[in-house]
Amino acid sequence: MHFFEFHLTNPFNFWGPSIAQNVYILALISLTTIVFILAAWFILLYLKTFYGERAVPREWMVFWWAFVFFALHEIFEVLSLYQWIHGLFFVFLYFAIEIAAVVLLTWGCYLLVKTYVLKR
Amino acid sequence: MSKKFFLILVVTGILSFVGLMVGGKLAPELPPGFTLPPQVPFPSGGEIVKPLPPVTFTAFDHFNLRNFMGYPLGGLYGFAVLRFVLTSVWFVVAVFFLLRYLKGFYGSRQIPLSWLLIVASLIVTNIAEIGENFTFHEWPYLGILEHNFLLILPHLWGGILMFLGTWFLLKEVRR
Repeated sequence: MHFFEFHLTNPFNFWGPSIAQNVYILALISLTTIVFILAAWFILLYLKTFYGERAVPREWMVFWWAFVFFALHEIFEVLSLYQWIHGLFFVFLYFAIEIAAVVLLTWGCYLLVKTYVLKR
Repeated sequence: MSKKFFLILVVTGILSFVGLMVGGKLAPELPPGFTLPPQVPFPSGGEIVKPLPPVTFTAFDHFNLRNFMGYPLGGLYGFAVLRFVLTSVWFVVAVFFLLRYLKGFYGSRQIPLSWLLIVASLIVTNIAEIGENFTFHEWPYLGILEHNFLLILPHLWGGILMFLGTWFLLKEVRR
């Protein structure tokens, strides 16, 4: 594997010879990615609506940013799956984004318990 | 827990399953006598490794954390192990903390639909992440179980649940 690789893979013959199946899989994968992106966007809107000018507490900031990272991970997943981007650098980035998402999620959930349950 | 939550869970699950099955129906027939190659050699670099047709129920015997998308990972192996552990185990820890928070914060009050959907989406997405680990580290071999039922189905289902959960959350705060 090279450090950076970019390929012009055709998504309409990637999974086999059937165009219908390839179009269908691409639609399914795109839909999955779009719903994750929309979820991240809703969260940013939620934070803006709920907190307005006020500062967002650290525990909520950490928790919700995990979802933004999940959306980013989904985008990278599609690009990596079709091997449009490949190579050690992108594999590293792909792993790093997913690890960041999971760490943020767990840390955020722990902070929520610590702030709203254990300190009460 | 509200009936609406279970209804959404079942309907979105059935929709994702039907979506998966339609994809299966569109797959072409394999030529008679088709057999998978016992091993696919690593490419020298700069090549695309396309997936082989999913003809076996599982491809666990091809699972190797040292490979990714048909290429050897080399120095990134340790990172792959870390990712595998985090996505499989820490996710469960996160959901445990989140459930604890919801139980402690809401007490005897009813947990809002948005939060129930977000928790459900995280549990389903956890399954998808485990399936993703298998698929990418077994590549180009695709097992029917891990590719369809551990990756595509829970990914779509989890994504829809997360979308609905966050949408309801936004709706609740804008009310």
